[in-house]
Amino acid sequence: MEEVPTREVLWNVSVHWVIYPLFVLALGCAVYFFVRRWRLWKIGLPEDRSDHPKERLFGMFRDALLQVKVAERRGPGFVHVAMYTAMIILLIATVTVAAQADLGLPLVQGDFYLYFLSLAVDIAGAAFCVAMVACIVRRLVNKSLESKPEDFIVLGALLTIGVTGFVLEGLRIAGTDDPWSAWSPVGDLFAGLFAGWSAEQISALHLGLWYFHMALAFGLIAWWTYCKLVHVLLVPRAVYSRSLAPKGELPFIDMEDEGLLTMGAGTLEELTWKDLFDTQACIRCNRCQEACPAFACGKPLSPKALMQDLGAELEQRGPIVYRLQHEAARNGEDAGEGAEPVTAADLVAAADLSEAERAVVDRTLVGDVISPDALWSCTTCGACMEVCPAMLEHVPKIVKMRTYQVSMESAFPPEAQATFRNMENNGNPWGLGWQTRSKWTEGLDVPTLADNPDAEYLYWPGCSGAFDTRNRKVSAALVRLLKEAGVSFAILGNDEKCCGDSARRMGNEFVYFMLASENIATLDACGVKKIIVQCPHCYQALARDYPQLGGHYEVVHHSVLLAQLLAEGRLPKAAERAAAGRICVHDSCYLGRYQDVYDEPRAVVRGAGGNVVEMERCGSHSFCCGAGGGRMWLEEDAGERVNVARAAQALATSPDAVATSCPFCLTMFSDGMVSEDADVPVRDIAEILAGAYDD
Amino acid sequence: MNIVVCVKQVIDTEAVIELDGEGAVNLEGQTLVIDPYSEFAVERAVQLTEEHGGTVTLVCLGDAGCAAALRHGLAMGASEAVLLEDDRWRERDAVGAAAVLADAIRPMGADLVMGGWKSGDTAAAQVMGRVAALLDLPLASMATSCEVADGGIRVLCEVDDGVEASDLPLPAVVAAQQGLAEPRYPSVRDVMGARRKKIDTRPAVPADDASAVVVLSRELKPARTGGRIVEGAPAEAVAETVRLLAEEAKVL
Amino acid sequence: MADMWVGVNGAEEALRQVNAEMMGAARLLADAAGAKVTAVLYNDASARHAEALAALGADRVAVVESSQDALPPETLGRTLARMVADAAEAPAVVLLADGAEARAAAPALAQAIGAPLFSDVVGIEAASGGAPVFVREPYTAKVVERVQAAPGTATVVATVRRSALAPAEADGSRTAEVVRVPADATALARSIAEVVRAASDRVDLTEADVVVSGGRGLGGPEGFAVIEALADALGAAIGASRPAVDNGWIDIQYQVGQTGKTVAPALYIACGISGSIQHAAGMAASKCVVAINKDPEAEIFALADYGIVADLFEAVPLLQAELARRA
Repeated sequence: MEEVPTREVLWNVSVHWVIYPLFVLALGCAVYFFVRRWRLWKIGLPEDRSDHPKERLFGMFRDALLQVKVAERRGPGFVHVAMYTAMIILLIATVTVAAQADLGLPLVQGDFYLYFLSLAVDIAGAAFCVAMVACIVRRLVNKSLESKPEDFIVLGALLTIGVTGFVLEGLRIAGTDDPWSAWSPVGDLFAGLFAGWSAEQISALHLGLWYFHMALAFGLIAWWTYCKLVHVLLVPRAVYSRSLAPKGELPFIDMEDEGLLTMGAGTLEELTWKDLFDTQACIRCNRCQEACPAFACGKPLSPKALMQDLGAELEQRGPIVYRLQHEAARNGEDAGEGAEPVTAADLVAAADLSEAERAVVDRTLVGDVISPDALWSCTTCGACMEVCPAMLEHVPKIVKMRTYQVSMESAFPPEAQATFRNMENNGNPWGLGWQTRSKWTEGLDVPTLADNPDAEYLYWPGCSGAFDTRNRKVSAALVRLLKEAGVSFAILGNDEKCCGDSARRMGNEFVYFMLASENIATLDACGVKKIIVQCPHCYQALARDYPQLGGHYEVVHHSVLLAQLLAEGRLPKAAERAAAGRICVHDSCYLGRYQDVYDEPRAVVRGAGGNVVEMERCGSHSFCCGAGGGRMWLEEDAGERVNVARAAQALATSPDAVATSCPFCLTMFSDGMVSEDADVPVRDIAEILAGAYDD
Repeated sequence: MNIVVCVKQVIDTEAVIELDGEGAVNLEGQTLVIDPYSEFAVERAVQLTEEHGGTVTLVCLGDAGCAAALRHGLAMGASEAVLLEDDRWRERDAVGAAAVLADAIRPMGADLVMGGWKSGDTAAAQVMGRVAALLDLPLASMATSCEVADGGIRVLCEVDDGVEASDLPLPAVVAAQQGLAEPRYPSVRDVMGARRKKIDTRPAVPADDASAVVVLSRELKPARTGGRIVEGAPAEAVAETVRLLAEEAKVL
Repeated sequence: MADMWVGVNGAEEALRQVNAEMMGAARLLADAAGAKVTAVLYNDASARHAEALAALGADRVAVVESSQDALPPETLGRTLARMVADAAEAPAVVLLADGAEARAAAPALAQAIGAPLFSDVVGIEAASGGAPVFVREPYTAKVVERVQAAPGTATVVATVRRSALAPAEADGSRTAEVVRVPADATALARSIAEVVRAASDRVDLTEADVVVSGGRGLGGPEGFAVIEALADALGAAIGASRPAVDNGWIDIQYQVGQTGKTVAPALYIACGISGSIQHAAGMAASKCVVAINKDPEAEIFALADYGIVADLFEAVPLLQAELARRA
């Protein structure tokens, strides 16, 4: 009779039951540390991230459990997927063995034993060990990872567990003269080491090593939620609780609320629980830092450092605030209804604290924890969030902190003041007289809504398109194309005001609110339904910010409209055009990453006969021009200039021209080209397309 | 230290000015702001009270709409505001404005009276000088610095060929020039706080309703158009430009 | 009719041009009204300028005698006020040259004698049979306003913008009666500690009447030498556009533009500046703009009253020479 393939489980181990109480103890530690962490993010403001559970679960399944997002990054991403898969296989094997040993289930036998428990587990174990070595080497070599002792301890412990596992297997094979050892090739290899050892020697080493292996594993379980391994729990949850809102949407602040005490985040507890959770879920994988244009250009900002610094501060401040909030809640219950609402700052200020605790809570969020220079270096380009495998939200935290700084502390780079004032007084960032806004239309015969109240589209040139001599040429080109294609459109003229995007993303919610409410009132009074914009920042404001204030419009970016007009054959002359040379297309952050519009600008360039060439960083990984998030209005003195760096990237493609689809990008690129002493023209896609009509 | 600051509301300096049929400046749709020179004075006054204690009281001759300028000053840190209400204040000349302001300020017991040396719109450039004369107080004209020193103030004032430092006993009048202080940007917290403060509104009592000034005409100066290239070889173009600067633009 | 008075600061070796301009206007008014012109000469106890003032049309020169080299504006104001009060017939007009001195003295004088004051006038017209008409440019020179004193006003005070009026032609054959009046002796309420003359230092950018600005066209820090030479010749402040600052050619305090300083001089000379809106935001309020750029497509030309398409290293020294020749 053919023997059923199997092995003796827990060979040579006598009192193995002790692992259960030890396991419970280890798990207890893990639970304890987890609760400690849980209390940290509990101090944050409430925010509902449980809507659309199916969509959330699906995302969690895809990006956390299947690691799709992780694997997008070749190299380390692949290594991570390998160790992750191996770990799951090893975990199943361990559970199976335990189930046979203590529940008597006959699992460790037959084909399942041979193919899975022996061969697959051996391969997984080997892959796991190789992955650990690769990780250790990477951390030793790549200094930009800023590895901590903890990183090496975790990796070293996991590697040791893996290697000791193989040694144990080898000892068992050698000690039992396993006939199926060929199915455990790595274990078999290790068994060779013990050829010639006596049975006693093998047994003694095996027993000692088995307990060591177990102790290490349980130690790691105990330490699990204290150390970085907690990401195994937190990252899936972070992905589940990711933002499902349209990209770039900021929390609504009701400026008309009489009871509004504070705005933005002045303390950690004025961030939401998810913001705080993010700081705990961040595993320092470095992808955000590598993607960040500010970091790449030597600015004092790293999205990773931001998360980590907030997280470190939360570990100090969190427990104190948690206690104070609980005391306040108890007192509040005692006092009953009608208690005066207090801000986070008031709560902490009034508390009776020890000197050490006082020193902790008196640290300011911006200033002591996050440097103002870092805060104001962000272009809100979103590259960090795009690459984050945990889908953490860096930019909203920055904007919330800016909002507090500007709105409550009036603390911001001094050069921003003129921009804020100009927006307030003249509805444009340059402070040019508001009555001169429609001057760009002179000689172009552009109808206003007053002339043509039945126009299908409102054309919204934005401040750049109306005031900036360079961008006025884009407006003129677009007007020309709209007329050629027979699009029915009209403009607001002098009644248009700055959309407020820069103000809002610089943290000036008040000025944003003023501008937005006036624009919404004007648009609604004119019955506007559909709007054409040529500025992705205007798009963001009109399409994604204004609905919070009751303004609902169908907004279309000119790239999308022009691509559509081309596809419909409504711009026939463009299609006849001969090749316009190599055109390097730059993706605006607020058009690409924020609105997921990548193909249309390229379709327009191709429609004009251009041969599209791509930069190394393009599409969703595009590198910011340096102007977003209000950076357009700020000095840039630290490090290299972002626009110059981006211009150099474009020049590396040897283009005949660079195509932009955002007025800020156009300005920044033009300046960058001059800095690089290059005379490659930079043109908006509308200009490139309208060029066909100038021939 | 109790400081009284005279505040004026003006049309934003970048505004495109329009005139009505009678030559009066059309205010409809215009952005009205605190006068920049008043603002320098308010800022320095607030700074002085932050450094030395005391109060800043704003005084404004204007209509109800001018409360916005006072609110701005309150948001900057002024403690009180008085609106001397007169719906026809824009028609009043500097003689009348100074008289109304001086009458209001006289009983306030101010240590320091501040204001702009001129205003960004009508630029009459005399109200603070007249107020000083009416109150019989020493004047620091076109001050670019004002510090408390030895029971008085040490001011730096523009003179025709430089800067003059002088010591004034208190009370005194300081007419602010650009550079006296960089106005702060009030936070929303400050703006909200200013909304809750009460503005002491009193009817302005003009001593004499007759204006000392007659406006014969007002016309818009054609806006600079730009875009004119002076043709010719560099030497010719330069010579022609200098001639135009002297004879046409009259800026030399 | 009552006389026209002109306050003349005689402190400098040569009379400043604005005095000839005031004399020209006073003469015009006096001739129209059949009145006389009195030049009130102060800060010139030796009356060295009396003859020149006579040549410019003064019928009478009142020399203010004082132990002080320079009258403080308070003293000037009081002296003039007392002279007006003491005059047999109050003057119809008192003109002073607009500037820091007059800005302090004129309001005090006007208040003391109960006169209206027109400041910074750019034109003076003799109205037939009526009070003189003054032309002003309020609303940051966007409006031209013609004003006069209300009927029945005895005296009007005005401060006159330099270079705005046609100067009187000097006629060496004319003579004037010279009288001497003591300066007001009232003690000053303030004590002057120190006067720092600005001659050595360059004018402050934001307050300058003339700004000479350089940009990327300068090619490097050494390029600012031509800018400085022109600025010195004009008594102008130096400015720069952001690229020049970013490249480290000049300190950031000179930056004009959206993130730098906002200027509104009477004359802005942009050399080698492309004229992006970020720069325009800082200088758009200038009264007159000259642009020098070798690129005829440069956006600065759209903002310039006078554009010169030329290499700045050639044109700026030419401009400096031409201005020197004219001065």
